[in-house]
Amino acid sequence: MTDFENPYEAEPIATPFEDASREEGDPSGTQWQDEQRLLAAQAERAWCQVDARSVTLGRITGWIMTLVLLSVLGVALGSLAIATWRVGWMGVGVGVGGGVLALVLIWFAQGWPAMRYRYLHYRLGPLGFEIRRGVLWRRQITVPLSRVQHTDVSQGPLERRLGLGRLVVYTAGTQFASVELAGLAFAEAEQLRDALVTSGEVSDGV
Amino acid sequence: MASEQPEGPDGAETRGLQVPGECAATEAGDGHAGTDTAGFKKASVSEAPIEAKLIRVADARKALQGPRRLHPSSILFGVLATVRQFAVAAILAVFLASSGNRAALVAAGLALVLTAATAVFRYFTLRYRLSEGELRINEGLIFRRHRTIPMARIQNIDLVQNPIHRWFHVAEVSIETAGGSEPEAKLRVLGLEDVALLRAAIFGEEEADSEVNAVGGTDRSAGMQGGDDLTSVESGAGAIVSAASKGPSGRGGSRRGATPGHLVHATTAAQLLHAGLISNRGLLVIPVALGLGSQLDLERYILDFAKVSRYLPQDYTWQEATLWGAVAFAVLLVLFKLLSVGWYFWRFFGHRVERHGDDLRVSCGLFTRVSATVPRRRIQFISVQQTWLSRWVGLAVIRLETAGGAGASAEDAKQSVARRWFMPVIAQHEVARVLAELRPGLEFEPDQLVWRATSPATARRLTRLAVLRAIALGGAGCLHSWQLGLAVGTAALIWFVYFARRYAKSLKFATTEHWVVFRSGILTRKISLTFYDKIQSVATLQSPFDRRWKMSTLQIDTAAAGPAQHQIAVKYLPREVAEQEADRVAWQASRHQIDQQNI
Repeated sequence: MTDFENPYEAEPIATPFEDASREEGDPSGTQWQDEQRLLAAQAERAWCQVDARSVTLGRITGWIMTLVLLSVLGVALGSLAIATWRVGWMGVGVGVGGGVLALVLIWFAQGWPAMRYRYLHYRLGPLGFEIRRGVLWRRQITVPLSRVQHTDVSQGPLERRLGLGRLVVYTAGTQFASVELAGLAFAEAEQLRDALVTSGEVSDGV
Repeated sequence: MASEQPEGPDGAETRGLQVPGECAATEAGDGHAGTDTAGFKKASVSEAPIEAKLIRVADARKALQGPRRLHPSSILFGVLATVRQFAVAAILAVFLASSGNRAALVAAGLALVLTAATAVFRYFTLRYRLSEGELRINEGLIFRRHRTIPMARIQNIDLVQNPIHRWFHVAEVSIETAGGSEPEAKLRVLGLEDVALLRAAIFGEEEADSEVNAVGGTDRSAGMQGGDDLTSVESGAGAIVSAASKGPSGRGGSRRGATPGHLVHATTAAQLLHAGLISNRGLLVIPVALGLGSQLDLERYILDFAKVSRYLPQDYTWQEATLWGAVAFAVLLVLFKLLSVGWYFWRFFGHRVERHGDDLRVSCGLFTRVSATVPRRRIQFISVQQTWLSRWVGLAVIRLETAGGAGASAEDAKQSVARRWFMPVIAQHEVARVLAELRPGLEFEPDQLVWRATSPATARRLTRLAVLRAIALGGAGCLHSWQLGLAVGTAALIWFVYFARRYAKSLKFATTEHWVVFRSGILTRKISLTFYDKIQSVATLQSPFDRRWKMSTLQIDTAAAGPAQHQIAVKYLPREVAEQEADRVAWQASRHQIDQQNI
């Protein structure tokens, strides 16, 4: 009978991660060779980027939001400036603060979409469908092909104008129940969708 | 296990979505449940044991063809359910009425009449029948609702009975299908004879077939003996309200007759007592008491010191005051522990888990007896958890996550018994044995595993964070006085740094041929495992701070996560390791196919 207490009291040593022989039940190591081969094949696959027009899309939506916010900001600051006209340094402070905020918003509209685009990659390989995204908080999500439940390709009005599409992959998971890839060229999104749907049937367990 | 080929003539059908005919039977968006029923081989009744109480399937089906109604007592239970929902408002109304406020009483009376009317209405308009292989439930007159559930899709028929139900010989029935997150249909309430008919009709089969599937035999026998099993409920709290369910077919042997279920674990009253004593459930009463107090305006009385001090004894020295304070505290503690023990007994008295083929049947409850069925193949995630107290006395909790669940939200008693409270208390040394029953081939030996730790820089990183926190706390204390700030800061420093180092050591994970294990926690230790064929996706996350320390978090996503209150998110792994392991786990996950029968 196993003493459940053991794993916490004993300090197990972390094994070096290159130790492949730790694969249980595989004394000959063939499984590990298969794995290495597959991982190498996956690594050879290049990471694709989404369509460059998605930057334009991001900028358009960003600017719309920024203009709205700027107008609100302008009204607020303007009234504040009028109220503090007499107190010189306060007016300057308000002006400077407002200016900084405006610059931040403008950068958010113009520069951020390009950064997001630079850090967004995807790849479809033997291991599954992988997405890398995020500038500050970087995330890589791998969905094995057999776990794709169904997919969606959708277009908003702006996306339709620019010929882009958004691919949403649904899994049975909780945190990543849906994985979205926006900014794909529409034709490519559909191709990807077809590839994901059919590959689920073709792949088989060992 | 998933990677094995299921034997028998159904081998081809069970492989996946390749066979076009199978897809038609799948519920749209039902995804992970797959076509688990389409490939079933139904049990056969080549020889029907002769027994007076048996219900013949054909008779059952014919009886259920004509539209049937709920049991007449459903009116009462409908009213009771609403009353329970609005219990607080009802109590308030009574209080207000007693202080002369008539309007509230009238309103309460009206509400009661309305509820009774709704229940009567439902009783008269709800009809259910079994026709053309579907269970049809129609209700309503103006707003009609037709619910159709294909018989083949029905997985479980579970029952809930409280003492009033038992008095009337009825039960609240919930019909579950494979993929839904909640029961497809809830019938409140059906007579026990009707339930037996329903089970016999749905789970029994008539066509002659030479092979009797082991699990199918169970279903059939359970359906046939519906009358027997259900009447045995009244005979004692230890009896299981039988929850007939459908298991996978096409696998396993072809034993004739019923599968004998065997007991996996029965929780004794002593264990429940221990669990209650070491838990904090009694503290739940505090917010309830506060709420009640504010409702009844008690604070007006309590905060009026002049009045209160009249009741308190005068002329006590501070020693006596301290003594009485300590006594009062002890009394409160005992009270809370009693409440805690009471909760455990209320929810889990007579807790039993039996295994019939591929189904785990859980039943428990002191007054309200809940029974639930957990098909083993739907188990996604198993978590064994111990608080520091339970470690001391050698007890643990086992929590499950099963597919088809609504996650952590919208849990009712039945669902929570099958998930979050699967084993409310179990002896430490029994854990491995029980876990082996949850999944064929699961050998839980934590000390045999090759554990991987977090990055060596974790201790340093967390220590720095602890120091920052201590400084922040000290700074907050300095607002009052620099002595306080210094004292608080130093104490916080020691405390935080100690826990930081312990925490860095407490995170570990391991992978084996078929499953991934993760453990974490210092005071409350949780060790959880999931299986490669249940892993839905793998992710790594790197925050800007992670980037600085060259670390990454490995996250493994499973279906219906939540009830176990633990997830596999291994933080502070070296970046290369996290990426490598993510690839390995994803590769293993894609190797282990989701079996037809598995979700």
